[in-house]
Amino acid sequence: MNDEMRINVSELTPEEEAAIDRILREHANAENDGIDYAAIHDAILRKAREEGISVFAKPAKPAEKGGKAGNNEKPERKAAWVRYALTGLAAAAAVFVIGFAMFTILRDAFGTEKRSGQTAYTPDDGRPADGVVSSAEPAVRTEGIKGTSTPGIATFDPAVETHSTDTIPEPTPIPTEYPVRGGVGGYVELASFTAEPADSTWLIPAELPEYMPYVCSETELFVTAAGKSEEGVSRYECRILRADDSLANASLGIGCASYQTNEFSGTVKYLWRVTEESWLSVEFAGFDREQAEEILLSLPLCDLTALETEAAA
Amino acid sequence: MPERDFDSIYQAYSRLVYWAAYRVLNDHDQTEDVTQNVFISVLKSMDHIGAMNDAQLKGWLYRVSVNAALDYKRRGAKEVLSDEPVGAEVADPGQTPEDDAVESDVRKEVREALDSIEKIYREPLMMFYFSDMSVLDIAQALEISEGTVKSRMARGRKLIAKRLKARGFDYE
Repeated sequence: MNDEMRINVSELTPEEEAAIDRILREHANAENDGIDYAAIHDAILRKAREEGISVFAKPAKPAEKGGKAGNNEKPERKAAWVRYALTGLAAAAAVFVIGFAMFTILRDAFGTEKRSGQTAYTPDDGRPADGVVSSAEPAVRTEGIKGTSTPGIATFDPAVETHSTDTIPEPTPIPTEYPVRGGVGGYVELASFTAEPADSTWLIPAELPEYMPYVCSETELFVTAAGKSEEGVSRYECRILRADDSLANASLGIGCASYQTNEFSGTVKYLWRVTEESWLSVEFAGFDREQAEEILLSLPLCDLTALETEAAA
Repeated sequence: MPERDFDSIYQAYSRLVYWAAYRVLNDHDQTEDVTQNVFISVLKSMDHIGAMNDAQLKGWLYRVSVNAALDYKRRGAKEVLSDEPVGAEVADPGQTPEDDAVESDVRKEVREALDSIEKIYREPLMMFYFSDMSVLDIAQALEISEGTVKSRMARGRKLIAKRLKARGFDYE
């Protein structure tokens, strides 16, 4: 941090604040105007077709259809047929259930075999006590695979007391593609530094404050925390890259780490407490927890015990 | 969850993805490559994305973009310094001498002012102005509080103002 940054910057007046805000907005808009987002969009679609990836674009207008079917039309047509077939099956099953239910009602009402004791059939609510469905509507319970939006599996259970429904839910189509976990490439992000392991010149991050001295070698760079930041929290992140398998050190004990997973961003983060106010953070993107721990165990890491002792001294 | 197709996702979030990657790479050609890769991932993950609300999708896209850019850089793309020590003059590797001549002084001054401040202050400013992210979006993406986002942005603006004043640039 240079001297300029240590000087307290005086508060901006509201006019100055507004002026800077305007300048930054205009600058950002000008920078964006210089980027051909349409060309990038076209390049993406081109690349997707080359890789055989289905593009969920808006349906083409009728005038644009015709000629050789594009890659998008066949899967959509197939999905439509699957939908029709499943709807037909659902309708047939519904007819069966309705028929069965009516048969049961009529059998109980006019059948020769009577149950022992009182008649279970209560004209007022029309619902027999043994739980048989009296509703004219089918009992339909749809279950989906947890964690995905599709597909749905419809099961029919006449013994279940149901809520009447006006329509039979349309079965969702069976997906033809599944999301690829770690599709971005999956890598280990350990810190905000950037350097290749073969490069002995590490980029020194300027934002490290004075109380976080660093030590670097050809195989690892680690930073110790020994104080508090302006915000009251000391935090350091350690960039550790494996240059050579033969240089691997003792692995870090996964058991002493806490971890956080974020399913939506596809990240797994591990944290090791180093001092009361600092910790080592390692984040994995594009891996699930099992993969992340496998990678973590294979990395050469610094000895946190020594680090902790040094920080406490 | 809102219905989305690829075109609507691209239209809404292309700036977010582009500038998230640019902040890492500082090179427009490489950023275009990474942007394409990210949206290819979007196409592959449409079912997964369908379960997200807008805020979740923004956070996911931001994180994926940054990670993709870092991965691109690690795989041997042309080295471009993205975290220069504070105060150092940063040359845009994408600029040619002709570009420098044509570009207005204002944009050059503002760009250099942005590049000169610490990343901790520059990043939320760029996410806000370039990527059209809200304070809440930025807080969720960076995993910090909204108050911290606002204070860092305010400090960043002050530093830029100071820099512009020191350079004799009258921004008012």
